[in-house]
Amino acid sequence: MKSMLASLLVLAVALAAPAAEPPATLLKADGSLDVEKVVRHFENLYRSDTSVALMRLTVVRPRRERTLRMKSWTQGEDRALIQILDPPREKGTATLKVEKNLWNYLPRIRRTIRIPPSMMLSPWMGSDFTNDDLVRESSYSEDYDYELAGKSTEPEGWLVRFKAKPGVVGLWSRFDLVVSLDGQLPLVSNWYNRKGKLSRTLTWDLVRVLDKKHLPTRMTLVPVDRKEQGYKTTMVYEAIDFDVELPPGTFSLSRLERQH
Amino acid sequence: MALAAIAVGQWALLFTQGLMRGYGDGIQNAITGPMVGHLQLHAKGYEDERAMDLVLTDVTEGIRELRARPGVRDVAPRIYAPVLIAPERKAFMATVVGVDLPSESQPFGLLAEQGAPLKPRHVLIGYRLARTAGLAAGQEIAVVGQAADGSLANDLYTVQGIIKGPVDLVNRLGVVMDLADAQELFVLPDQAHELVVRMEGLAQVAALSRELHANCPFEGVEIRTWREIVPELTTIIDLTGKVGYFILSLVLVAAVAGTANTLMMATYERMHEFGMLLALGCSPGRVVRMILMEATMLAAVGVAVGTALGWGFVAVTSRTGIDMSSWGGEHVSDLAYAGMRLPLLVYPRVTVLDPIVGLIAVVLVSLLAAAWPAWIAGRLDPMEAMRA
Repeated sequence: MKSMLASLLVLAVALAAPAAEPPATLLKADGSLDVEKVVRHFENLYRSDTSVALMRLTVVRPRRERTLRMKSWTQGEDRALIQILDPPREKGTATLKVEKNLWNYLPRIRRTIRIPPSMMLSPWMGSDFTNDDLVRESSYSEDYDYELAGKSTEPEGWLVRFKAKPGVVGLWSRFDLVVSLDGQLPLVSNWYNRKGKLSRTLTWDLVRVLDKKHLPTRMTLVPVDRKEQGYKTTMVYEAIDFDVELPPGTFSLSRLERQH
Repeated sequence: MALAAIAVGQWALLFTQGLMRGYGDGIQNAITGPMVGHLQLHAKGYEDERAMDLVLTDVTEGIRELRARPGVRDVAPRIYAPVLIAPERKAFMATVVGVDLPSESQPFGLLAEQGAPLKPRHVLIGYRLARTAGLAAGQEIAVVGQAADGSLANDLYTVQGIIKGPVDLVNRLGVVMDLADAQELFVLPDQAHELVVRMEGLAQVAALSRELHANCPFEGVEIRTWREIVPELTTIIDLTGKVGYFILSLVLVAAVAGTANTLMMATYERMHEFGMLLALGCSPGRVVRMILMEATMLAAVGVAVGTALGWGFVAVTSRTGIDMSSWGGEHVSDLAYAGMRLPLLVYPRVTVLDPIVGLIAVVLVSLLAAAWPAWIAGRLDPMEAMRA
């Protein structure tokens, strides 16, 4: 699967596409999930067009909770710009992603900083998402072997198993994804690290209609080893527009450094 | 022969004892000096979680109270925060160390021997970080991290200087700034992650630790002594003491072999004379005493010569130091463990007790070695001995 936050950023785009086309069934004639179709479905959706979204990121920590409101612009899978709107102390702080590069703009000191590779596994904006989540470019079929493992009962849906192909460098050895019975919506995914240990869980819920599409508007990421301590990050989409015309240069450093 | 063996043994004993003690001192100072101190206080869980918001609060008042305790020389508050620093667009991983400037400028402080006092909104950069990031004094850098409240901490600071100190963490990743600057940047009003307590002497550490466990100005605090913080290194210190005993046993073997041999030879060669003495009415006991006295003299002179040599050697090297890094190539000076640069310039040190231990041991062994020939001499038949 695409990295999680990248998926997160383009999730709406991804999920919206089936509705844009005639709702092609993702099931086989015998009623089971056509896993090839589902995977291609998700993959191609990342290459779909643009989106502009308003989101709320809530980071829960043992002794505090913090909510950021942000606006994002995305184009395909390679370009994204996320800007913090609130709280005031961080207003204007922005992250620009172009392919594998990541920059943070800090309005207080009017500086742009490129995130070095050594910091890719560090938290993004203090959340449970890592910088790596924003930039990783991997796709289901390129990096993972997958198979339909059958039906899942909790939650109810289809269980698809993804296993990293030999030689693929990354954090994850495998992940399990549960998709809805019609194959259209992701429900939950469990991510296993290179030692095969369950490391984090990503849940999608609160399905709403945004820009005429049915979308799970909330994603919750829980790092398993810190679950007990109460670590959690949720991202809620408040509004989203698809296929918006974005001015050229939206994803440029000069635009990043301009006051938005 | 025997004299030389004993002298060389004693010299070796003093030299190794001195070197080992010097090495132990070096590690001891590396530990209890700049980085760890004698005692540390943290908020409960900080050592495991290293979370920015696990802090000690109202530190000014608490430090004042701690400083008033008997045996406490100083208390230094510190803030640690992982950050990115960026002279321009390119960023580098670093660690902000927020320190109390007056405390850390004292001998054994993090900033001891660092020259001009650090100005507000200025930072000192560890020399290895400076090398990696291409930083020089006077440059402006952005420091970006996460504040204790979760918000994005970011500000600009001027590099005042590059430091090369005894603490590896600081050399490698350190961005040292005034505690007040760090408190402001990371939203930690009157708070700190760590208090480093330095004592007048090692003997008082355990007592203060016990006292603080019973009654501490901070609540929910973890108190650890330097031995608990870096147990591996304290093992080395303890070990360096034991190595001395090993050398001592080698010296003894040399003494036994040398003395026993010489005395045996000397006694057998003079059987004739002993027979004469006995024939002249000298009591066997007196002959035995004579031989034993000889052995003692031999031991004493050997030890004296060895002590003079050893002491002289240590006296010279304790001033100049012995640079062990010169034995190991260029980069050995960066050798570090547990965030501390291990000392490679060793200043040997001996105590008055060291040669005395050698003296007593050598004399005892010499007497033991002389006992056999003495016993034979005492039982000589004068007639036979003179005929021999």
